[in-house]
Amino acid sequence: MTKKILAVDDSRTMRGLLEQALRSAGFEVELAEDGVDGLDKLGPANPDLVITDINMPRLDGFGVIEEIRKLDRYRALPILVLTTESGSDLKDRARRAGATGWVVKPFDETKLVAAISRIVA
Amino acid sequence: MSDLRDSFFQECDDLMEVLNDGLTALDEDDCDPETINAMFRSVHSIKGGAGAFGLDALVGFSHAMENLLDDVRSGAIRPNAQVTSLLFVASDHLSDLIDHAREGTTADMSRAEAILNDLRNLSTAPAPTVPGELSAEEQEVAAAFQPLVLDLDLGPDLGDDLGDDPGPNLGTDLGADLDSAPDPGPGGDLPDLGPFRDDGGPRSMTITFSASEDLFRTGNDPALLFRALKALGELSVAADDSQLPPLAQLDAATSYLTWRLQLDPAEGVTRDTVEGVFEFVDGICTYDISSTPPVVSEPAAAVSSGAQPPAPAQPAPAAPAAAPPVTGGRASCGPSSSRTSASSRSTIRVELHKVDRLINLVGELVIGEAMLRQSMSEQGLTSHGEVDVAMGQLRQLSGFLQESVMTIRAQPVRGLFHRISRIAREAGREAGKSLKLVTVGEATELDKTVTERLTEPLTHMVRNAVDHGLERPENRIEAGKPERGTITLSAAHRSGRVLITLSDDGGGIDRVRVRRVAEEKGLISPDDDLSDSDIDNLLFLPGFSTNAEVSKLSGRGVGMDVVRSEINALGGRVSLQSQPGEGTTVTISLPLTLAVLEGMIVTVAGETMVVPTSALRETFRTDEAAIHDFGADARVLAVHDGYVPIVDLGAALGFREEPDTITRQSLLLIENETGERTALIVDAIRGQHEVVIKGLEQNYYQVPGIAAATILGDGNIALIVDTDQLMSSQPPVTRAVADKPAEVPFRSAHACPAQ
Repeated sequence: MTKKILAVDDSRTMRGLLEQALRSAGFEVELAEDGVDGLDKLGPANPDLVITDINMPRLDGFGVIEEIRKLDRYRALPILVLTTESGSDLKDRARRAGATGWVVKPFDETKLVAAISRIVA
Repeated sequence: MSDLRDSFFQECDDLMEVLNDGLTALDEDDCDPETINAMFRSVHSIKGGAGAFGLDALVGFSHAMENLLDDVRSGAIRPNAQVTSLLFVASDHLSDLIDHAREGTTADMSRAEAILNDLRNLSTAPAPTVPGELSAEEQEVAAAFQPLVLDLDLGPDLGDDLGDDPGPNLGTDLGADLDSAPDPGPGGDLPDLGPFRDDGGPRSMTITFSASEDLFRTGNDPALLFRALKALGELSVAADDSQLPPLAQLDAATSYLTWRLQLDPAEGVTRDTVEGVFEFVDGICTYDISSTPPVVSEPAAAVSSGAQPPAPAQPAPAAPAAAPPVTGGRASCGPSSSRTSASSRSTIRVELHKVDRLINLVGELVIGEAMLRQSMSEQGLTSHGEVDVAMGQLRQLSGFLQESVMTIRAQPVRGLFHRISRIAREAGREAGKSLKLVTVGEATELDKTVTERLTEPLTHMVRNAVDHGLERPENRIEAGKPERGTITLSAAHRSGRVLITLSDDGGGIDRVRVRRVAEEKGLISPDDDLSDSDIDNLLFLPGFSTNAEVSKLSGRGVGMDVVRSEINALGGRVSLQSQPGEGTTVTISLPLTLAVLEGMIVTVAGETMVVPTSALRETFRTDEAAIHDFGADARVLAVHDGYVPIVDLGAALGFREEPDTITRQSLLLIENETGERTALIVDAIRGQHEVVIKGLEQNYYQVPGIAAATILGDGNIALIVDTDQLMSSQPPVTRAVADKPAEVPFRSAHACPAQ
């Protein structure tokens, strides 16, 4: 069954890149423009995995993850954060918020897909 | 990919706008935290996108800028004038870098270095965080764990996931993340650890693994890890459930199991590959990988709850060396596919003359449609309902077609305005004047060619405004003005034309000085009786060099004559108003399109002429209008708010002598951008039409008073009147400067003897 991914990023370019990479890897993709939009689309999209940017207007990536984890039905939903920061600080913060893993921008398509395949059953 | 690249650059434009708006707000101390956040995000997004396309120069520069913005955002740095000014400079350079990246050219790195240094010096330059340390908070989370007794009805699958208490052994190199290596390089695999060298052939690996509750809290799943390991070779898994408490004492959130896995890696699978599987769970599980020589004996009981003791928790010999970044699949990464050529885009380049030809043809179509409609109504055909409907559709469609074709050439003045803003800032810095530039109407669209060719004149104008218009800060304070000067650049549509104005709140034109300079240059004689506006217009004379005389601040030639001739060449006009002590406004009026014009068709002295309706305010019949004689041979028209000179169009263009009596003619009241008005005498008004402009210069030469020509619906050629030129070359009878027209005579009468 096709897996569905909700990708949340405020950058149009990044959304485009994600959409292209994920679609060509055979995933179904839903896009959201910021954290609030992402949470709005979570229920209707009911994705198998969420990829979210960190720096976003209205609600940042940490907020998105925390909000998602508050909901029982999404406790085990895999969430990847997209970050340009290579420092461990943001990853630690993301993990504390409940992120499953991370993808560093600029992402390599093969690696992105490998990471996703690893955490989506 | 190339579509995405285009989209990235479009996004960059938007992001730069956010950044610049933010900077302007910051500059005016009108900046809330969200504005700074938005600026930070803009630069951050530029960096992110640039990274995806392998635009390294852009990544590096935006990164430094982002650091400074981050400091401002966090309050570590107060955005004082120095910071703001540096951010402006950096933002300008960032914009340059984006342009270079877009065009595939190389930026001037020396300039970037200087700005980068400034940025780094200012920002608190965050030292790279030390990897490998658990944050205090995380340790606390790990240590604070207490098993709780829960009375739960466990689902069947949940039981599989229950494992051992991870214990405090979480110190395994949490931060040594996969991606912190600055550059993987080609074949970026790190040296393999001894026992796992590929050349030795695949060795069997023993992996012990137990999960912490954090592993489940973050949506990770041991089953998925095992599945990923299974993809790397032959895998057998054994679970140790000896730590599993009785159901009554079981905490659903705790993992009580320890797994022991035996992996016979497939060809090419290295220790790094295996560790890569644990990338996301590093630090929230305990795992240990040790190599075992290929053994014949069965190392682990097959998947079963065999009573195999848990592997010792102490690190295997190789474990401390796990500190270097794990590079699972690293060889395949790096921005390899990102440097795409700019060859295929979602836009196409078309030669301008093809577009112009299309625009011309559409113009002709519109006229043809109008002719058809006219002759049909003359034949009484429009009374047929169906014909009427069809004609209506044709009219609507040709209108849409015309609009669409026009938009091909139209583009917002935003880009132009940003460039000018930047020049203003740079000029202000050089001249030591504090200023802010306000732009209005950036979305106003203008023909692309016109926009491009406006850059130079506007650059002249804005430098003039900074150098000559704005006073020095101390003088401004003295004059009771804000220390910082304001330059306003605005664009607006006005009756079929686009008006671009540049105004400053400076000291206005120093007319005494201008007059003295003009006299010294021999442009005027001391006896000349000149109005204020006449003196202001001296600035446009070619011989008026303000270089040494007026500007001591900047060594640049000012050349308002160049500005005027450039604007004239675009079919535009430039005019200037100045108020002593209050500032100067230069107004450029440009045709919206260079191709079609709405005109009033008139006849005068047997010729058919077109007067652009954009200049037309009112029409009168001479037998009904209030016409008064003025002096010996002049007439004026009384309008509600004053008197307007009357000019015979035929005489002005040299078709005939001024008629002695005017009783059966018509008057067209025309107005230029500065609000000056003139009434033109014509013999008859035939009607209002759209006409396609045919330039005279290409095939003939420029005729004074004539803007262009056109072909009318009946096939006849008509000349289009240049109303502004007509007005400016007429003696301003209402003023006292009787025989001294504003511009040309100065040049001929005074400039020549001086040579």
